[in-house]
Amino acid sequence: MSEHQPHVTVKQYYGVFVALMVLLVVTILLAMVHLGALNTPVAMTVATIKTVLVMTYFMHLRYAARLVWLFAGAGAVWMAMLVGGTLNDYESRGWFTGRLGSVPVGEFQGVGTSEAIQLRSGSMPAAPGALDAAESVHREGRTKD
Amino acid sequence: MSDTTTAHAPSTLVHQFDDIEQQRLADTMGMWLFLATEVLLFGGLFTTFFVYRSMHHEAFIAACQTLDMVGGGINTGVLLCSSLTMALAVHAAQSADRRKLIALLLATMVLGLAFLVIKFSEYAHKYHEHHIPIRGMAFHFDGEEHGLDAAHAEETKLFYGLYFAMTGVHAAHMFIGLTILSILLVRALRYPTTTENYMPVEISGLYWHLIDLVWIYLYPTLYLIDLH
Repeated sequence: MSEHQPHVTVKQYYGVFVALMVLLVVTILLAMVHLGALNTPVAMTVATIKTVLVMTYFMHLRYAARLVWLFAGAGAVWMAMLVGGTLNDYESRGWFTGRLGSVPVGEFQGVGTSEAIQLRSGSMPAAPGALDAAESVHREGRTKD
Repeated sequence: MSDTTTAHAPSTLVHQFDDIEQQRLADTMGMWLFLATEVLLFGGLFTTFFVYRSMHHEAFIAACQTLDMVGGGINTGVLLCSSLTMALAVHAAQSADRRKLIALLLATMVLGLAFLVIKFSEYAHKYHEHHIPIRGMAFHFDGEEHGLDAAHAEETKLFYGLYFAMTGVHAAHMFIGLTILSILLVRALRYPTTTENYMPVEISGLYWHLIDLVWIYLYPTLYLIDLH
């Protein structure tokens, strides 16, 4: 290593390690508290803080060249697009409506009957009643079998 | 002739680079590019998990609660320790401290092995509980115990399938990581440790830390978020 370049010190490594262990305990304790829909975002936020610590110090991004930052950042952005884009797409089509009442294996909610598909695709700009209709058609289809 | 080749461990300046700094930048950048593809590999698995979790939440809640969160928590701690020893190993390599480098590489390997032992004892437990959804193996999930009807109990297969896929791909990375660490160990024993040839340790360290990062997300995703 060249002497003029700053590097992460041993003291910093230990500091980051202690912080990571504390955050591990925090995430376990928070998981045992009922936060409803917030449990997932809270757990992911703690995991992301841990990730930033590992990347900054253990993986030396803090003292790395800007070009390396670009490559590391690109990975994170692609990941966000993959997860965020896909989940947003499913959500906006109403395929998560059975969030707490799921459908049997092998039956994809919203693709239960061809009528439901037609009503759904036709209902994109149309009245909200169309979605309810699709839902009831779908439910009828399910009770039949 | 032979003394000049042995004195130069691999990874000193190769001819296509102007100087060692440029070579190190290229090494680091290339590794990060590879890590980005790894992130996307696991990203696909995480996306699949969250899509199915949203569609079959009741079954995923019930199945999540059967996992051993203590074992998983201990494993997270073990991996964090191994990341520390790996980071210190890189530091030892940069300071040309050969004895420390060897000791820290060994410590990292022991911790990595400990992780795998705990992981596979969890798998063995799943086997005894009949929670492995593979063709030819009896799968059984006690739905009544968790207030699920037969159809919903069947959906827990999705959770266990993803559990084994995600932790399995992660464990495969651990095996690769351990192989790389043993190569580094042999190198450290065979070649002199100088301040010039630390790059292989640095690059391998990046890979090891990525494995740790994946687990940092896997642990809450599989074990924690549906405890309620």
